[in-house]
Amino acid sequence: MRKIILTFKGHGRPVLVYNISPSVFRSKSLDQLKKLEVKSGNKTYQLKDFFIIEEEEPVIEPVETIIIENSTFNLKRIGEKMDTGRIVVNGDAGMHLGAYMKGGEIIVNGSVDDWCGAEMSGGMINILENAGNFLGANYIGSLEGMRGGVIKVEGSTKDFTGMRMAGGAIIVKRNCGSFLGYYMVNGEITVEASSGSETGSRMRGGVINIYGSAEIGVGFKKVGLNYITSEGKKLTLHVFRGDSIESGEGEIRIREVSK
Amino acid sequence: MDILIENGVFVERIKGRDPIVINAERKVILPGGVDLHSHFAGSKVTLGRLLRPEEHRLRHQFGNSGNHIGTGWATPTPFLCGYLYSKLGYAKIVEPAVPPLKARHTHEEMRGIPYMDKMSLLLLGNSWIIMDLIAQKRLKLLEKYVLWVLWASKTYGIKLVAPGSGEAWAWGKSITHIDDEIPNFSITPKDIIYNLARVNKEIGLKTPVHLHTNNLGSPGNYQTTIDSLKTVENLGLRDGDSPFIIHLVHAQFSSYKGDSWKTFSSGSEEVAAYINSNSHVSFDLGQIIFSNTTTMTADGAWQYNLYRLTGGKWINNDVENETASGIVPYTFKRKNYVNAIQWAVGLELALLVKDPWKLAVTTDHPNGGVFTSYPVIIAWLMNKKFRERTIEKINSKAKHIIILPSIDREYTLFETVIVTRSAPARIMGVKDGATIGIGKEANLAIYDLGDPERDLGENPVKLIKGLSSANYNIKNGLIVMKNGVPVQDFNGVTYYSGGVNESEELTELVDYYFKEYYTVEKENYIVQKGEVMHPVNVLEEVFK
Amino acid sequence: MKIIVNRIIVKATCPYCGCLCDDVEVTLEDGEIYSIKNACPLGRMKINSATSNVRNLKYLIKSGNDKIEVTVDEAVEETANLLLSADKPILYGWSNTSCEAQRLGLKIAKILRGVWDNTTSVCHGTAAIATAESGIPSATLGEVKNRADLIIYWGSNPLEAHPRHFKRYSYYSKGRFVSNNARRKMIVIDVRETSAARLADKFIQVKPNSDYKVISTLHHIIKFGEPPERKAAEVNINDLMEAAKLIKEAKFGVVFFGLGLTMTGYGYCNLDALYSLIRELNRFSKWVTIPMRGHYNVTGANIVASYMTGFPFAVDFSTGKPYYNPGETTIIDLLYHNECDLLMSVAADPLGTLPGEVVSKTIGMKIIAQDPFPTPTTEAADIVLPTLICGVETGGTAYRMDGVPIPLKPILKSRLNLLSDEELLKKILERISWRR
Repeated sequence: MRKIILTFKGHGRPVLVYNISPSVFRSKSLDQLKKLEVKSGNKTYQLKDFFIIEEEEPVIEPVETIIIENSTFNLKRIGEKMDTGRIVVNGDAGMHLGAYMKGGEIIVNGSVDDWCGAEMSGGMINILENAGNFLGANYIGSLEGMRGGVIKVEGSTKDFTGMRMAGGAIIVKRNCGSFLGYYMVNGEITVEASSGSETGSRMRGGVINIYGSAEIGVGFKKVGLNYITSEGKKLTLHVFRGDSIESGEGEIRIREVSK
Repeated sequence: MDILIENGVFVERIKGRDPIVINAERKVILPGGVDLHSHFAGSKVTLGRLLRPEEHRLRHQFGNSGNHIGTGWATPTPFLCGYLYSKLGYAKIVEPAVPPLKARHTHEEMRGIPYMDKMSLLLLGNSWIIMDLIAQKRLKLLEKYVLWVLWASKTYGIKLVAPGSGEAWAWGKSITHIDDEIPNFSITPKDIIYNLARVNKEIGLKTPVHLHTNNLGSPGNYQTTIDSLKTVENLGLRDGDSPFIIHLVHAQFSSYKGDSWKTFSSGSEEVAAYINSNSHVSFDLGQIIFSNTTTMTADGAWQYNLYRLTGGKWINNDVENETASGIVPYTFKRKNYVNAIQWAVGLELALLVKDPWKLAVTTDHPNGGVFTSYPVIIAWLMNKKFRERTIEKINSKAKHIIILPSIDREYTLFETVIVTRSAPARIMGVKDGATIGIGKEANLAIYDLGDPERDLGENPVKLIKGLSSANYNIKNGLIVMKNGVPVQDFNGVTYYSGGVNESEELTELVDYYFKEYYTVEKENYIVQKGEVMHPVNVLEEVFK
Repeated sequence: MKIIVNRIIVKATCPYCGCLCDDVEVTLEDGEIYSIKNACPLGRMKINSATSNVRNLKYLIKSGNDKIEVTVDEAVEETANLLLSADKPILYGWSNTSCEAQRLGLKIAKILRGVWDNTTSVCHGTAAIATAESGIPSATLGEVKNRADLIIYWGSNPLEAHPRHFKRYSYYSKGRFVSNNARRKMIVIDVRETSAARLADKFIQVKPNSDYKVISTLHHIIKFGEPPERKAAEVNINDLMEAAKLIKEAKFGVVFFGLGLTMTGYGYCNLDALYSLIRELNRFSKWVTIPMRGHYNVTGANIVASYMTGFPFAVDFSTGKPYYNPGETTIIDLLYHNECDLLMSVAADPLGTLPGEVVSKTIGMKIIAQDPFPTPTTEAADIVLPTLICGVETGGTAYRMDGVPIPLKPILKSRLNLLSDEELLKKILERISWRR
């Protein structure tokens, strides 16, 4: 199994690297990889124009691995539609990381921009710092966001996390912005700290766990209590059902409701 | 045998030198197709686009040549619409629902559709002026007004969508019986159907009144449909190419029995029996295709029901003094009981009605499915085994109550040519545009359907593939498409009807409505010829 | 004694706001404006601007610190040069010009593989996004005129921003089933007491950025007949109970919404909530909602872009296929992320209207400004392309706020030797097509 190291030479404007995906890399020689299509502005380039490409002999990894060094927010669409293998991003990653992803694993040793894991249906994304807006969300018009797989964020996320989420799991270690789980249909979101205003608004189904506090919409009605253990601590969570305005059957379990 | 074309028409002998020669040996050569009911341009189509960017994001076709932009599936952009029809071997298409107030918008989009000749039908079934004139029994004036408003909007014929029900929907209500009085207007849907069918005949429009029945889509509506058709029985037949007095649009959606979704069943036998025993009715299928689509119709109340059934997206857009409209995305599923019955109803109608000259193949694009599915419908009609293969996959409860499996009829290739070309052209009054004959407009599609010596229906996969992409599409004598690739830019004509009249009574009438009820000036309501792509009036521009 | 040589009255469509009043009458005397009938002060000002001295009169190209005058062909050539050499040009504006010009703009953007965005992106774009998420129950303005017995203005200031809206289409209009305003009720919901609020049967003053909560609470009251168990602190329940009563009594209701709803808080969510409420209300009686669009042809820009590309604004052609993703392909986001290297503004003033943070990103970008009037954008531009005033000096087509298409008419013949937006863009398109 191979391991490819891509070192980003840097670029002042966004670069679309939808071809950086193990499924695309798999059967290609180093020479072929160098010529892979990359877009920036209104022009088409080759992968080698923006990256130093090195290949390592098979090591311990069981699956094909791509490592991106010096990554910045200007690299858009890393691992888009990937279905297998592993991508490690050292640095930050731009918009649409792992969008439409079906399988495999992406680890970002940094932060990601908006629409990370949007409409993904399988696989695992692990963000070691923060995520932007629309994490695991839908694209405009689609009725389903993330449908499967797992997204873990060690830091915090911005607004519309898990919008229209229809399956899979999102785990956020720190805070989320507003409209968490907006229009959510199914799946589970766990926020280990707090979330902003209108949490779960227009929710149809699924579960949101919040171990800290959050403001929740007026369409949620309290239905009971739930006791859980998180990292050795016992927590009492208030369980709300809604969003009744949309005749929804979602569930929010929350330690404290903020005003 | 050679077919010769010069200066856009079929000729006996070519005068010019060095003609282009196409070897069509072992190919099937047909006149260009005619689609008499397809929602492809105008306000509601654009609202459909606004409602569904996801569809345009996922579907890009023909996107990379010059400044042509092609996206979309149920609501393709105008360029794409022209290309797709041309690829299918079509030459003339009809947009069947134009609100007069927004006719300018329809023409703006139609100007961008290449290759096709276009016609459009004007929504008059809920027009205040028309309902008032009927109530006041000013029927001569009604004739004049219809001619004027067709002319003002540069449209071709009359369309009635759930007559009177659009007005009721403006108050959030609907009309379920054609003998019910329309709120605030002392007339019934029946009065509208009868009077406009009569006016249509009197003023000599080239196509009959096109009727979208009341109660469309609802269980048990076949009775409403037959009652509506009976309403105009005593009007006799019309003069000219198209003898029919009424055209029942997307009949499939109007041929259901049952009194709820649970007891929903096919009313195709009853509707087909009526059509077989009467000569004044033509119809088109409105066949459904199992797929996702964007439904759009001027039947606002029905679209609201559909939204309540699906719980998804819904656009409503009523047009003052004229019509309602609604848009709802919908997926027809094989395993859904109602959808499976609907699928059977369309094919049953096509197979039970004996005379193919009475019907046209449509999907009511995009309501039942997209027009690019027509070859699949042809295959279903031509091949019983192919129908059985689909029947195996549908909802099992539906499978056992439909009569489709007991119908043995298979269309011949000749009959499919009638229902996709000759019959719709005749119904629309443009018969000459779909005929291969000396002096006629040279619109041809050349297909490779396999060995022409054998039964073409035998291999449905080959048939569908062949019909889906014509080797050549020749429009007005020009090769516009070759193997699904556009060859050159060309714009067809836009047919319209109606004319202006100096009658003081008419001017007074129209001016009153503009002064009191419309929010635009009359002069801005009138679409100028310069706003229309190659306008051709099939009637007199000025009438007495 | 003055001899009147030639006095004629021309009908005009007012090219100012989304009302697109088409009953304006302008009296011309020897080709000059003598009087204007039926226009509001804003429309009058716009029509009179044809005679203003403050116009762009010359085709200018920046040379060092100066701008030098060139011929139209030289200006077109230089515009084509800049556009063709740009890495990702953005063509922005389009709301104050005709549909014909908008179509040409889209074709140019497609060929250049650039971005086409219009001012919707910073005003009612959120309404388009909400429509894509859930759809909008709407109608044309005549439905309101003829039927509405309850009119709600939410976050809009009709008497100041759309002065003839009341009279022509809503509260003061006369219709078939509602003959006068005694038979209509009006609710105004706003953060401040506007002049319309003083005429309303019920004025609800809301706290800034609380609209989402207000709509949700109202929705709850209407759906369940009672206030929610947990009340949002920002909301006055009594006000909403009273409003709900009026709403439920209406036979035909309309909500007109403006920038106060589309551009505050999470604008797009405000509209999601509003559309959802309107859908709910259709279970009881007839309800529609209509946006109070600002620029006279901003609706047309959305319609034209929708049918040409499938998307209403913010269309990015850089990969060859149209791509639309508000939040990424919208002008603010593109400039903020340094994605574009050239800004062509047509009939708009991005430098004068976009947030300062974004405007500062245009430093170093090439700027082309096409406009009849001087603005901060033409001031900063590398190329200035003066044009005739669309709807006053030239015609075309525009769409009213409710999607009704109305012809724009040339009211008078300009003495300036300039081209219309459409003519100029056609030249640019031809030049670009030829060069490619």
